[in-house]
Parts: sequence; C-alpha cells; structure tokens
Amino acid sequence: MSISHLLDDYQMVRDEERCIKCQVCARQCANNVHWYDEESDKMNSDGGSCVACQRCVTLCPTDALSVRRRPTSFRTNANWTAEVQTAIVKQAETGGVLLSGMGTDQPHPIYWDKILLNASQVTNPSIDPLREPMELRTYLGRKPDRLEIDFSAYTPTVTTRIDAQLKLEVPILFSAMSYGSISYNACLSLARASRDSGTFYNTGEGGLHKDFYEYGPNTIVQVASGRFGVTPEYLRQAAAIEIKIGQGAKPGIGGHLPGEKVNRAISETRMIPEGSDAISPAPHHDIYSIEDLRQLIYALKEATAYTKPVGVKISAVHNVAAIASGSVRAGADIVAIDGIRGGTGAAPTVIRDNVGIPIELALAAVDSRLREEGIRNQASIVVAGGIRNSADITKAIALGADAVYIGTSALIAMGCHVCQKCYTGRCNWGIATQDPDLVRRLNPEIGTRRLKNLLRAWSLEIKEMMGAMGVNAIESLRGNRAHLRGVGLSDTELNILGILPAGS
Amino acid sequence: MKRIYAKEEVCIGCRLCEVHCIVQHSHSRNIIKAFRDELDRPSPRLFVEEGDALSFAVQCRHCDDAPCVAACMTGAMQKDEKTGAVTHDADRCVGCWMCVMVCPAGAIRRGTTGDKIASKCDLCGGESEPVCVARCPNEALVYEDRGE
Amino acid sequence: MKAVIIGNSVAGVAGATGFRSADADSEILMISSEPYRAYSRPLITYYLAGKVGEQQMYYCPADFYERRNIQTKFGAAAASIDTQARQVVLADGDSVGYDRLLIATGGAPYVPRIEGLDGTKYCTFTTWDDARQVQELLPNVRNAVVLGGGLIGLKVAEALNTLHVRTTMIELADRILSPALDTRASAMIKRALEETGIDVRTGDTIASVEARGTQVTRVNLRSGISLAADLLVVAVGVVPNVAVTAGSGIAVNRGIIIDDHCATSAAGVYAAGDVAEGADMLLGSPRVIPIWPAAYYQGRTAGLNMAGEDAVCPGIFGMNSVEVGGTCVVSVGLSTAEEGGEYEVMVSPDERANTYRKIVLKGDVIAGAIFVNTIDRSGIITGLIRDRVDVRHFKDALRRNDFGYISLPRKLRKSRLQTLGVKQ
Repeated sequence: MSISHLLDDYQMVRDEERCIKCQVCARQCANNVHWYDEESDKMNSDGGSCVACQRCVTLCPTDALSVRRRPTSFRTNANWTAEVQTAIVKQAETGGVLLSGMGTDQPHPIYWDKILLNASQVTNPSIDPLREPMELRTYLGRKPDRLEIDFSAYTPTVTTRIDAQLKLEVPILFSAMSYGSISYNACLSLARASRDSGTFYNTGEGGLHKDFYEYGPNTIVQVASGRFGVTPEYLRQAAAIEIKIGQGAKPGIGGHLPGEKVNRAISETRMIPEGSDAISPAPHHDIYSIEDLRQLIYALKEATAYTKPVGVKISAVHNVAAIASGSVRAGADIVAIDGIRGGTGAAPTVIRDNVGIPIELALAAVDSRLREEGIRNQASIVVAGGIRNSADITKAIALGADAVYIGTSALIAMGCHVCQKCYTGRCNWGIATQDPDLVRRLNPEIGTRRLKNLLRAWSLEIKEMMGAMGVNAIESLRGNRAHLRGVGLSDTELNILGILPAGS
Repeated sequence: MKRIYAKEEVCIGCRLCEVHCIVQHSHSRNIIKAFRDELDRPSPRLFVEEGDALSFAVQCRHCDDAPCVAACMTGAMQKDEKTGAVTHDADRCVGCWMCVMVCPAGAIRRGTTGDKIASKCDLCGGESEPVCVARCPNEALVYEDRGE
Repeated sequence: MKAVIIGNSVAGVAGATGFRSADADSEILMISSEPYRAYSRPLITYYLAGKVGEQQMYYCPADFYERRNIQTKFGAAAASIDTQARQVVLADGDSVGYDRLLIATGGAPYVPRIEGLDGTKYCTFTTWDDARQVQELLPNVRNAVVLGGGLIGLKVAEALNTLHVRTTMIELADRILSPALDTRASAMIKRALEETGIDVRTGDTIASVEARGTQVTRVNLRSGISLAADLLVVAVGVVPNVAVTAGSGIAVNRGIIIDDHCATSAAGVYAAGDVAEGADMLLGSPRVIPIWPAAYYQGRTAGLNMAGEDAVCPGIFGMNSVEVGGTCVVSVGLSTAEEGGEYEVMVSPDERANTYRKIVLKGDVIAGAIFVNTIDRSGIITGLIRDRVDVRHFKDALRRNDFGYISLPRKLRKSRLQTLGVKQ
C-alpha cells in the first residue's frame, strides 16, 4: 500500500506552560486529535484529523490551545494553489467525488458588500427607533389584486377574501435544515426560538418528528422530491407548506443522507427503513413541467382546505426569473430563492462552488420580472444563501425581498464553526450529527437562547438602519431600490440590480 | 434550600466541574498554579459518572436528615442550621469512613491526597453560585430551590 | 415537665437534642457515671494511639449543654429506678424525679471467667479512663495480649502495635470480626494486621493467666501455647448495661426491650443505644444493635417522643466501617449470609488489586454487603438496602467495584438523585 501524498491541513499548538492535563481536549474531540499519554504524563496531539472546529480551543480552561494552519511550503503559484493541488491528489487517491458541508468558501463576489444604504438628513428627517414605533411585522402569502371595501356600515370592512398568510414579527425565518442533517437538539432550538420570536422554521426534507407537533404553528413543512414523512398529519400540523424544487448549494442534484445516520428516530420520522440511505432524487419524478407543479400546488391546497400558504423553493440559476414567474402563475403563494452561497449538510464540492448564481442578482431579477408582469403581489419572495448580518437583510428587503431565510447564521449562533465537515456526522458542537454522545453537547436551552438573541440583535439593527433612512415600517422599504446605491459595480451589474451608482 | 441538580441529558462528560472544584478548594485558587505547582492539591468534591453517551455529576445532596451527620463519630460532619449545608471539618476527621458507608448518593469519597480525609461538596462555602454550576460549559448543573 | 436522661454518650446526647428540638422550655437533666462531658467512645483507641488529642475527643462543642439549657449531673451513677414514683435513685442515695426518662446507659464490657484473671490488673476497653489506664501502664509494657478479635480488639491491637508494643490478638471464633465478615474478607484483614507485625491467633482463647501480684506476666492459651504478657486487654464483647433496671419491672431480654417509638414497657420510660433491644430492619426480630448510628436514631426518636411528638424510629440494621493496617473494610446488613435458601450471593474478589466485594440478595432486594479496600461509594448500596429498592434490573452491575447511579434505570436514577435527602 503506497503512501498518501496528502499533508495535514492543521497543526495543534499547545502551550505546555499552561496545559494542566485536565484532558478536556481529549474528551471533547470527536476526531481523536488529542490523547493523554500515561507513561510520559503528557497530553499529545496529532493535527492530522483536526478540522479546525475550535471545540478544544473553546473548552480548554487555561486557553492553552490554538489551531494553526499548517504552513505550506509549496512554491507560490497563483494557478496551481495548494488547494487545487490537494483536491486533485485526493481524487487520485480515492477515485471519489469530493464532498463538503456548508456553503461555498470560494471568493465569488458578494454584492451585499458593494451595495450601500441611504440615510436621511435635513430634508427628510430620520426616525429615532427608541422613541417611535417601528414596524417589522411581515406577512407572507398571496396578496389580492384589488381590495374591495364596504363603506355602508359605520365601520368599513374589507370584503375581498384574503388568502392564507404567515405572520412574522421579524422578516427573518430559519432556513430548511432537515432532522437527519442536523440533530434533534438543534431542531428543537430552532423550533422554540421560532415560537418565542414570532417567526418560523423549516423542516427541510426530514419529515416532522412527533415531539415537534407542539411547534406546528411555527413550522413550515417541506415536500421535497423524496417526499419523506409527507402524511396528512404532517400537512395538518404545519403553518405553511413548501415544495422544494432546488437548493442553492447544489442546484439540479438531489440529496443523500447516508444509511449510517438513519437511526430509529430518523427512520420513523422520514418513514424509511432503518439503516437505509435516504436519497432524494434530482427532479420530483412527478414534476416534469410547470403544469405538473401547478397540479401539486393545488393538490396540497385542496388537502389543507386552502388554509395554509403553499410555497415553492428554487435555486438561483440562470433563468431563475422565468422559473419564479412560472411558479407564481402555477399558484405558489411564496417563492423562496436560494443563492449559490447557501449551505448544505453534504454536497459535491465542485457543484457547491460552481453551480448557481448569487442571490442578490437573482432577487433583483425575480422582483423586477414579477413587477413587469404585474404579478408581484401574487407571491411573497423569501431569499436565502449567505445572509450574514442585518445589513444584508435590510439591503435584501430594499432590493425586493419580503423576508430572508437564515441557515448558516443560525447554525453559527448555536455553535457551528463552519469547519465544512458536516457530512462526516462527527460535528463536535452537537449540530450536524446523530451520535448521542455529540448531540448532547447542544443544550436546547442554550441553543434557543442564542437564536433568540441573534434575531433580537438583528431586529434592533434593522430598526436603526430603517430609522436612519427615515422609514418606520418595513413595508415602506420593501422593493424601494431608491434607498440603495452601488460601489465598484459595472454598468451591467447596476442594471440588473436596478440601483444607481453611489454619487448619483 | 437551594441544591445542585445535574441534568444528564446535557452533560457532555468534560469534567470541567471537577477541575474548577479543585481550583476553588486549592491554596492558590489559580488554575495553572493549582495543577502545576501544588503537590497536595485537593481531589474534586464532586465527580462525573460516565457510561455510554451518558454522564452526570454526583455531589452531596446536603440532606435534611443527613445520614453522614448521624453516623459521624467525631462531630466532623455537621448540618449548618443557617445555610442548610452539610459541612465537613477536616481537622476533626479521623478517616473512619462511616460517612462513606452511609451516604446514599455515594457522594463522599476518601481523599486521595494521603491525609485520609473524606472529601465532600461544601457548596463552595456559601458563594452565590457554586463554581461547578457557574463553570459548566453546557449548563448541565443548576443551583435551585425545588421547594420540596 | 421534666426529662431525665441516664447516659451521656451518643444515645443520651441525641435524646437530649431530640427532646430540645421539640420542647424548648421543659427541664432536661443528664446523669452520667463518667465525669466528662460527652466524648466519642470509638475515639478512645485513636486517643491511645496518639492520633487524637483531648480536644478532639469531644464531639460536641463546649457550650453544648449551656446552649440547650440542659442540666447535668456528671460523675453520678444511677442505681435504680422506681417507675411508680417516677424516681431515679442515684448510687450516693440522692433521688431525682422525672416525668419522662431515657435510659441510655450503653454497654458494659463482658469479662469471661478465666483461671487466674481475678485480682490482676487486666484492662477492659470501653471508656476514656480505660484508655488512660492503658497509657499509664505502657512504659512498662513490652508484650501485650488482646483477647477478642472484634472491632474493639482490632483497634486496640493496632494502637498498641503503633506504639511499638509487641502485640498478640486472640479470637475464639475461626475468624476475626466473625459477626460482620465472611471467611474471605476476614482473612484479608487478618493478613493486613499480620503485615503490620501483630500476631493474630484464631480459634483459640485464654485458658489461664499467670501473674506476679496484680501484674500479669503470662497467658496460657487453650491450644497449649504460652505467651509472655505485660498487659492483658480483655475485649471480647459488650453486654447491655441493664443493671439500673433491676427491680423496676421494666421488660428486659438481652437489652431493654423497646418498641418502634423507643418506648419501654414502663410508661414514660424510653431506652436507646447499646442498652436497648429494638427492631432490626433486616433480621425481622429485635436485637441489640451496638453501633453509633443506631444509638443516634434511637436516642433522637426517644427524645422526640418524650417531648410529646409521635416519632417512629428510622429503619436500623448492622453496619461497620474500620481501617486497620491500611486495609479498609465496610460491612453492611446480613453480610455473612451464604448462598442458599432465600439468599443469593455475588462475590467479586480481585487478588491483584487486593479488593473484595460481596453482595447478598434476598429476593429482589439487597440484604447485605461487604467491601474490602473498595469502599468508595459503598453508601449507595446501604441506601438501596435501607430503601428496599428492587434491584432486579441492574443486578449484574452490583458486582462492579465502580457501581454507581449510571447502572440504575433512568427513571429510578433521576428520582433518587432528585429526592434523596429532601424531606418529602
């Protein structure tokens, strides 16, 4: 058996003066990087299997550890970087598809960072969010073309029938992350935080565990190509239904949960045999045209007596505007678009890094197209794929989104350090794993608290930015591209985004 | 009275509670000095039971009618009337191990530092929050009055 | 209302404390034949060995009596009791009236009839003065013989040995600590003692004693062996000190018979401690349980009931903990039961580690246990015995030296750890 050409990515650096040999690092590393050598009475580390998740560094009571990128002594080469070479070597050694977890780490342009917000001065005074009421409340669902109001009675009433709506206290929802790709405790944290913060979380394609029925009013259930866990009860418990056509991290391909991760609870929830691989095919095998999609949308609406919004989730790809338009015409009440920087539990690295387009461009294109066609009111737009902070959210709404989905941000709030090794199932933070020894590391009380804190902090910041713009209701900001300016963008980009360059 | 309760569902078996208990009862109260320099550093007064993906810390329950107080023949074990804590006077202890024999929680162990004194939780001598509770990285220990 | 307590050791003290906790005002009088304020009897062997000083002997604080407004009459022996007139008659002729009486006179050392023993300055070992007496004799002692291989004999022999006295211990039964330990555990303790230099002889006893005047010079064993001896300590056992009840009509068997309220057959009269014969939770029949915790619980129960409460004595059973020659042994309950009949016995010996663990099961509950050198957390077993916990589902785990709450089924574990020690 020949030697591997792969070099370790990381080295452990231990300050021997500070190490007290408490062995917490050894106990807490799921990759067996650390161990205690009884004979020499010393802690030892082998950086080979380290994934730089920072678990040991965080828990070490004396701050004796740090993870260092192994200095590479490859000759500097802008073309054949260490990363590129390593990928080739891995494939030469395994003959396999390289997998990654989380969203693309490649330096694709981030348009949020090239879009700037306005502020009011003098002519249009800004608003103090600590003194004035600021409304972030958002309704997702189909809005009517026209409102008919009956003025005959003393109190005027709206006679137009309004379709089912989701009521959000903040324009932020938790993105689809299936029970199976993440742990029970992580799902529980998302569900509780949604309930307490007045928003929603999404089951992803993992079905809905019975224990989570009590959070039904805050749950969006997904009907994905594998149809896992889709029963009448599943639909009944939900506040809304989302048909998953695609996902930003891996547009065009399906999902795969390895059999080892399908334990008893997951088997029951997804309704598949224990230990069998959970494969979601690329297309829904009963959706081969927009008419097929319409059929499924209305089948779900009939099944739920038109009491819940039925949405469609699509990846941001080249003709995303046409697909979005078609979905709206097919009856979708919500269109969720997931950009190239969206996360995943496992995807082929090459697809994750190269397929799809940034959400900023997709959002602008979809919002413009729907307005041009006069159907923008028929569906709410929710965007996802690398929403990192409240500024991204504010800009997204100004560009035309009704709300945003956050996935990676939520996981980071709970403890994820984006090591990108989710597909191994050895998540040291208890998030992307089913191993009971690891799952218990995420205390749902703490997870819930951190998520609520994140939403609260971002809400306050959004209000600050809105106040600065002289806006006191988020509806006034929605699609109001006049509040945005671009920097360092080409004419074409400015055109697609529909914003003026800074200075004009 | 407030007692320490362990939540086994979220105990991660890191044993940092034991580490901080040792530091709290050491001479220097400094984690590095206590472990590196103090030759007679104390054994932890609570300890983590560990099994397959299951662990939890066990410590003195500060019983209302403590069997160890009933069995102690030197007056080393006493129930503090004011705080409710069961305290142990190391100067009086002769290491007869009657307390070890009667504690139903198994929370008293012989000290390992050679001076034969039973080691037992003392609720950190009345601190607002015992250090094991304050320093548990996953909030698996709580200090509360469950009003029973 | 006047409460009188005869006896100033653990049962008497617990009685006084119990009474005072329920009755803050009534008079309490404690009478003791010894002149000292309450001290710990078990510590007298430690005192002899020099391991504790005078101050440590007192297990109650100096102001114990004063703070609780307890009257004391120390150095006064009680001679008899008149249950009709409710009077205690003292040895010096004085009498003390009572409304409630607690007899906590403990045990007196049993001295067997041995040829040549009478008239010699042999020692028994149950009081502080006994320890002081041995201390005084020590300078002229090179060889000591301890008759009795029970707890007292063991600790005395160990103490003498640490004081560089050549010591021989003699036990009548085939093994030392026979009421508490089985053959195997007893052998381990015997070996530990021998390794410290003590000569241990089992299955033997003293046939005759030779003396020069009052000074013992030699003991002759039944086996024929003859040993030089400058000091003879007789520690074969203790009998309940019931002398004070003679002629009172109070029901006495081996000890003063008490019910589950620690009341005797006489109205208003209670008994507790080594003098009393009460329920043994495991045996099912009453016996004298001469251990510290039993005296404590009986005394406290008596005190509470004397003050008008309705207290039932907590379940008591035999248990012992001792460390000799660096070897620790804990025995609990029916520790010497053997496999067969209603008992199931599980043993886990470990020669290499020099540990021994024995669990005795009776049906679905634990009835007894022995731990040698693996005594940490043995209290968990004691608690399971006391609470009569059904151990069927984790029976095998009981064998493990590291047995802990982790081996209990989840529900039982959580319920115990939550509620242990909390008054329900």
